[in-house]
Amino acid sequence: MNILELRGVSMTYGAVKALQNIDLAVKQGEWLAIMGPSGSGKTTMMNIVGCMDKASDGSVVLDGEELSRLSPKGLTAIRRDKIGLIFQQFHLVPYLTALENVVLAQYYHSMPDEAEALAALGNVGLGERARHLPSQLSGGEQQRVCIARALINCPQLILADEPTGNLDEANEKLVLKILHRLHESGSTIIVVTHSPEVGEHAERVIILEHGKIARTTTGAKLHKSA
Amino acid sequence: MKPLTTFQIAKNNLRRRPARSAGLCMAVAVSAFAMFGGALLSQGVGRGVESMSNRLGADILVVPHGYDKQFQAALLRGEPSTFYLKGDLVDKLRFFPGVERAAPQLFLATLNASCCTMPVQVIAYDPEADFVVKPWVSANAVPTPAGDEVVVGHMVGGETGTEISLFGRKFRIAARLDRTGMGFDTSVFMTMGSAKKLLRTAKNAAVKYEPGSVSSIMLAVAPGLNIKDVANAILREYAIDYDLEIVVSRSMISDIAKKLGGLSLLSRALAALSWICAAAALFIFFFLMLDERRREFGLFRILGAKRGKLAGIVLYESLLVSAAGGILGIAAALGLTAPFHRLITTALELPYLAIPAGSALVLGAGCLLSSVAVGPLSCLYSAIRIGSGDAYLTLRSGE
Ligand SMILES: Nc1ncnc2c1ncn2[C@@H]1O[C@H](COP(=O)(O)OP(=O)(O)OP(=O)(O)O)[C@@H](O)[C@H]1O
Ligand SMILES: [Mg+2]
Repeated sequence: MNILELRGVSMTYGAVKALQNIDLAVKQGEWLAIMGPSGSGKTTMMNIVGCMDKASDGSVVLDGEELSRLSPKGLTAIRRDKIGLIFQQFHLVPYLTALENVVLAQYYHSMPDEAEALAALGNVGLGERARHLPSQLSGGEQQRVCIARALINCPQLILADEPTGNLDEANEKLVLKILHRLHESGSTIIVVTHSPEVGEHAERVIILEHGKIARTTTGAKLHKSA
Repeated sequence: MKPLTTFQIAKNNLRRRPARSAGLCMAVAVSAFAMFGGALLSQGVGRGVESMSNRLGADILVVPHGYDKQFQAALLRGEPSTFYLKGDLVDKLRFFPGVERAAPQLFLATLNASCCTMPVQVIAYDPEADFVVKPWVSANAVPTPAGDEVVVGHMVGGETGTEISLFGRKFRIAARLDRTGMGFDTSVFMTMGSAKKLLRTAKNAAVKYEPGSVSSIMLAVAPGLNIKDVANAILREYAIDYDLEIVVSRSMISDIAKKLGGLSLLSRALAALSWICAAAALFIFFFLMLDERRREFGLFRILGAKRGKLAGIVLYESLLVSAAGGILGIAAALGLTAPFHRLITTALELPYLAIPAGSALVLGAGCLLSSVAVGPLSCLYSAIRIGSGDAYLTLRSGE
């Protein structure tokens, strides 16, 4: 079953054609990587799939819902209920502790549950750092807080835009380990990355160029060619 | 961890940026201070003036030439001074056309009284003729002091029944008077007879005394007559011979009332100005923060926050800041006006009678309310902007 379907999706910013006529289907539980040169439209696609932006043309169906037909309120609800977002910049609230940052996602989603949030931090190896502010954490630790927050409401689809872009190798490995665990538990994952080392963990890899899907390959092939 | 709510989020933001929050708080605190302190002061002075005009039953006050200022200072604030007029003037004025009653007083400044660290003003009055001090003393249900007794003003030290030493002589404190807010509070009252006896036998010749002299004469003008006319007639007749000066009490009080008007206008203007400044500071702050916090609010939206919740964060922040500032400012006003009102009113040459606790409470509550209102009012615009926000975090912003 497809959790996500893009049909003829285009996005133009004035004269810039960021995406051109994209067709893509993502199966439930699939791990997909999006690669491609800078400016090829990767983030644009994630914004559309993540209900943060509307495509200029085409249709996006997420878990059976046609996004272009939804009101802003409906989009907010879908994003909140179905999507977990991991950012390259972490985007933690600076004046809230790691724990509070995770609880925040629960608060706006449903009911805060501190024990559950603590367990989520424990899962990413930060049980001891729960009461620290983002400024007291390393980049890798901040990214893991961001991941714990993205996962706290059990989203069906995890979108990660260069989740390891700001991390060193050791932290990159940690994050990949977490993604593997999620994948094994059945989550659907879409990762945007420049790094073949990250891309090769995906089952399928699409390569964007000038807003079009130039190639499709698999993580395994990416690994061999490297 | 306290359960996360919009309120807690706002509180955490303020708590974890203490310097910034304290700055905002101070702006509101200054305004609350000006508002409450100014109101306490001008209302206190208002009561002081009222108390004084109620108590000053005389129409015309006659004092030695050049001593009108000292006389007013003694009356207003109990600043001790000693001055004399020739005593036979009393009878002359008593029978002056248009004068209904005349009562002499003696003003004696002690330099070392056992009661006080500061010199006190001794005011002697003639129980036979008096119509100014006596009604008030007896309104306190205090009998005329006997020869070796004094009645003391509210702020003069010493228990009733104990002794006080004045010019080397001991007097029994017969009673203590209610607070008036004027110089009477720091004065000691005795009869003219006691005072004259005291002066004759005073070992400590700190004061020169010409027998028979008085310090001031208070006059009541017959009803229906123009007070100024009578005053002018007295001046024409006796100004040169007796070297006297006349204070018309009504114009003295209206002069003081004018000063009070100026004071309360000034304090109101200051309160309004500082309120506006605080509101402007908060407005500018929250407005400038809008841009800086765009990403933060976008993130809240991504996590599923409704727009109203975002506006709520800002409103709570401003509410907390202004409530804390308001309480701080009002506490400071209480803490500073209470001990220093004497200093201030002395500098302004105004009588002061603190308003009752109940009124102060109501006043404080009003000031607190308008201080607390500064916050939400001044960030309303920003809150609305956020609430109707176009601002939205995408994965791209901040890259
Ligand atoms: N708001 C915008 N207005 C105008 N042009 C935009 C806007 N957002 C993106 N673009 C353009 O769209 C194209 C695709 O941008 P996008 O951010 O999707 O690239 P990307 O593949 O994520 O690149 P990178 O690897 O550098 O992150 C770029 O040419 C970019 O300049
Ligand atoms: Mg990008």
